[in-house]
Amino acid sequence: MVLDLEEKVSAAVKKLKERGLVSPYLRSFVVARINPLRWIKGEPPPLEEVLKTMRERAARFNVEKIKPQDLAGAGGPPDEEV
Amino acid sequence: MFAGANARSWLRWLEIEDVDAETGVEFSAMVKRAPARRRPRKAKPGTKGLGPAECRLEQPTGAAAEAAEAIAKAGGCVVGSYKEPLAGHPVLLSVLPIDAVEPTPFQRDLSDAHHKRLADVINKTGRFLDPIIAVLAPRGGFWTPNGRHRLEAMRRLGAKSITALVVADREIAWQILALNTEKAHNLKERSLEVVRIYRGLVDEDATRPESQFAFYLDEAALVTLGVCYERVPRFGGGAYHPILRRLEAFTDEPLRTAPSRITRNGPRWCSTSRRRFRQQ
Repeated sequence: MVLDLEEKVSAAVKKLKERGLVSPYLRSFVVARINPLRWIKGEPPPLEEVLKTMRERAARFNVEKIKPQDLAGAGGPPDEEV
Repeated sequence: MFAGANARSWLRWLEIEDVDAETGVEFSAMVKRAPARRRPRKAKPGTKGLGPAECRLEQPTGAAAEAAEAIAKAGGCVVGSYKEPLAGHPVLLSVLPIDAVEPTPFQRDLSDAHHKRLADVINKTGRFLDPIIAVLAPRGGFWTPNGRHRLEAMRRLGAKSITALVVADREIAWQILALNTEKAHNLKERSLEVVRIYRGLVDEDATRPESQFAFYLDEAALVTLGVCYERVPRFGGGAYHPILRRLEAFTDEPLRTAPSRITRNGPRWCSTSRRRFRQQ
């Protein structure tokens, strides 16, 4: 499930790169955008549901709406943490 | 490429000394580079240092004997001595009163979180197994150039004494950075390590509850990430780690079945990766 999600996130990252957006945090940016836990304060839903929601959101991620300034505020761990 | 004045300005910017009169570009003398750092070649196996029997040191002499005296004077005791196996320098394995040891005054600040975490780990294992390095301090007592966090962790636990490798050569105190070259584990390394431990535990006895090994495995999320990293070495696990960490927890299920129901709440979930993991 995580790897299925990773595939969809990678596709979104690829599209962003094709649009000329360059950042080491592109993957973190996409994951942050599709992460439903951001708005949940209390007890989180089951992992299965969260991953399903994230997969759906990643599949319909609209790269046209992303502006370069949106990326400026993105942080988090770099994509290639090796 | 560049030509004429344009090339000259570029080359000046690049600090290039000679320019070919015809083409305007000189490729041979080019950019002044810092000399390459030379690292000694890998030595042939078994050609350097001392053999096990040669490392025996019955009676310390010279500076090592002085250090042994200082240890006794401070209320500590030398429990063993040996020549370290690379260059044969004497080392005294000692137990020192904890109050006689201080960190070298010039080393990095104490990390509150790290020394508390270390204290928790030492407390859980119930053993102190990693001696600190110590040298004689200029005004009595001992300095540790590499062991500040272990020292503070032991103080936090209320220990009376601490084991130390006392080095007679005081210069070692200035080599803090060299002594701290150990590389911290990144997420990929931690995850792969955890999944290998998990597999080892399953092979040993898969009927034991998963939660019994929470201490060894650190986080349930690392097991999932480890499986992902095994399948996709360039997996960007850092992006998913916070989510998995929040949602996954160890259960009281036996190790054999736990990977399929590892979430904190809700129904069973069985990821592709976990299913594969179980089959292996």
